[in-house]
Amino acid sequence: MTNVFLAIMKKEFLSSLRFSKISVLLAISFPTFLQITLLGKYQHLARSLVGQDPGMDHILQMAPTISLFYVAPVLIPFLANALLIKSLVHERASGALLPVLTTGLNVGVLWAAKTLAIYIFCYIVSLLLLVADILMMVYYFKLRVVISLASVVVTMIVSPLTALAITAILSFLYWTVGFGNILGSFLPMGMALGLFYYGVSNPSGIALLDGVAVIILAVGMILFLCGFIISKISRARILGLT
Amino acid sequence: MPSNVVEFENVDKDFKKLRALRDVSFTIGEGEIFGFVGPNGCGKTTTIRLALGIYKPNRGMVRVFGRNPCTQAHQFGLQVGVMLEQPGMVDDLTADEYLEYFGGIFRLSSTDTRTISRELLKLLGLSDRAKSLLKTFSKGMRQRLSLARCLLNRPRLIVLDEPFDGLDAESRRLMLDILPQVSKKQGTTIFITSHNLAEIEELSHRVAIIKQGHIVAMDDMESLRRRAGSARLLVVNLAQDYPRDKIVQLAPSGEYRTQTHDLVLKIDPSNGNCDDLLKRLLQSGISVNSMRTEIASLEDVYFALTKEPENKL
Repeated sequence: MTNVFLAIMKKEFLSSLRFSKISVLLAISFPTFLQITLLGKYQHLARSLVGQDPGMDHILQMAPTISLFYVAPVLIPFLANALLIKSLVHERASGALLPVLTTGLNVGVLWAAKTLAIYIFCYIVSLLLLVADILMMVYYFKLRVVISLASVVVTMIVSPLTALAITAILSFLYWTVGFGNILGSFLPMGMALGLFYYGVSNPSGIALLDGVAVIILAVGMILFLCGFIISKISRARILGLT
Repeated sequence: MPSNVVEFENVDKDFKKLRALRDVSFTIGEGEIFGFVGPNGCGKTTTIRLALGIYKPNRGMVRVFGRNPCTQAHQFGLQVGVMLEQPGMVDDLTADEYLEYFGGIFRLSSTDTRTISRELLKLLGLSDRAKSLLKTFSKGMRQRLSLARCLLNRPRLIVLDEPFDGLDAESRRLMLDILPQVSKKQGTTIFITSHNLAEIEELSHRVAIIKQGHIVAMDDMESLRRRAGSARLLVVNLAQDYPRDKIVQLAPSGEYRTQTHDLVLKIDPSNGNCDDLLKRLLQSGISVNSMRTEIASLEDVYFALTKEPENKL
């Protein structure tokens, strides 16, 4: 079964890479461009405020870190949504899914491998965005990036795990309900904004550290439930032939 | 090991108010090539999907390798090769990568997948396109790659749904040559549906004719010909196109094919002898180019058994 899982993941990776070259480029360049524009203005403001208020100094010091670290994971649901539509909706419509489902392969395994591959692909892209933004801040704006344990946990674990749950829910809905454009446009946007708000509103990360276990458990349960329900759904329904 | 690879017993399948199949029963034995013919929308694809466990019958029983394909497909799915009407592909992969993907799903080792893929791509004339993205493939090339995928796991059962649709003459010939070879060498059972009767006639050991979701006849070709009472045909080629009414009046039991100017009659004692017919035609001022006898094709048998000669497939 491991080989089957890896074969599906490899195919999804290759396919995503070729399909989403432009999407990936945009996903990295657009937020970076926004950062450049906003930080260009911020830099002048920061310089004028430094030394006037110690509390304000701390906030200004943290601001680049916050804007940097909590933007990257937000990218995941957006990019994942585009890839899920391609991998699940388009493959179903084109008939590419049908021969796979005639092999007796467990549908839950197929769903999990596809979703996980797409998620990992998006996670890697979000890390590339993070690296690009750190380099830009350090070398272009000459700003100090404060990397704390909390910011690392939030950026590398908590937010991406939440993004994994979002990706799994989207993937689940595409396979079971087969939502089209409305879901494709609004649901990931809402979820991503929620994720961003969640990250920005908890910059200290202390509460988040305590909640990591809870989040891992919740995400695990969502994944298990989605996979379990999908494995019980008929192949005709997944193929949209009912 | 059951000797019947596929079994349908009194199967009904409904889609809301539409009855797609009614009381369909047949079996396909090991190593047999079984053709399933009928017009578009008669239930061929539904039958295939029932055999593959995608649909569940409303009544009756479907078994593949003695198991229920809806609930036990995991027990035999790796022994089945499938080629469907719509050759859905993953367009962002190359032919090599596509076969490697299915090799993984079929649980073949990387080495085996590579070796078999290379052989199949060569056999199907796709070696030079192995590294090309599938989005650049034509319909015929996609069909050939579908066949490669279908043969990749050396299946014991091959299910083909309209495999000749959209194929050029060369690809069609290639498939007609390869499929019997595979069946003979590996003892593979082949279940094939089509509305192209000539190909089914050439390939199949047994044929079932389905009409409006119901099997109207099922046997080997020779028995079907006898049953249709059209084992041999007399084909009278007329010198030019004549009014249909006139021809029908002279030979009421015949079928007049205006495109080829052929008057086709079953050779049957009740038709009288050929001399009489020829005399009647000549006396009515109809010139005859030639007369010949032919063995009835599946198409002739199909029309004879479904009794709707005006409905061409």
